[in-house]
Amino acid sequence: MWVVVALLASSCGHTVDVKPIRVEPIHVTMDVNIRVDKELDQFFAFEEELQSELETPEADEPSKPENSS
Amino acid sequence: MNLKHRLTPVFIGVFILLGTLSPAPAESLDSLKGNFKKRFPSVAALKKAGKIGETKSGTLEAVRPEYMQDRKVSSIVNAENSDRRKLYQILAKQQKTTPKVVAQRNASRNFSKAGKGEFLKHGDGNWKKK
Repeated sequence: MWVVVALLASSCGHTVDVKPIRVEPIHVTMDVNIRVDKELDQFFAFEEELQSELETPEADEPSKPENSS
Repeated sequence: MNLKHRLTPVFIGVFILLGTLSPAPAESLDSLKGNFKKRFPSVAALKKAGKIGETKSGTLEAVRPEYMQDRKVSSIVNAENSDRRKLYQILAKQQKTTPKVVAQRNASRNFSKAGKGEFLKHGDGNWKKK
């Protein structure tokens, strides 16, 4: 009888290990991506200026004043 | 001849040796930016003409392999990619990451900034018009 009780008691024992969730690598990756994006945006900032120059039609050049003579 | 005078040529020799062994200075960001600026109108024109496009690996590529037979296309693509690789290395070192990460970030940046009608090479290797 005691043997059966002991066996039942031991089989009911259940240990759950809860390990802390580490989220640091995600933050680090996001941080790196943000920093790289910022560097790239700063480096290639000239592109927008050049692009708008390319898109501006040449007709925008100031016209020569008419000769009144 | 005292010890100080005898060691002077040794020190000079060591300095010369260190000077020759040290790696050549990497291309600066300013000079790379100058190259990109100079090339920008040609790159933009070739993109608009549908000859070249951006890829997911952060490089430029000819939309069709035969376009690379055009010397203008091949020289622009090769020069641009060479400078991009240098840029990715410099930024990766600065930001303590890998050139691959910088290249991928630049690729997604280029994809979002691409104009309508430009070709983009997606991860599956297929070209799609934006």
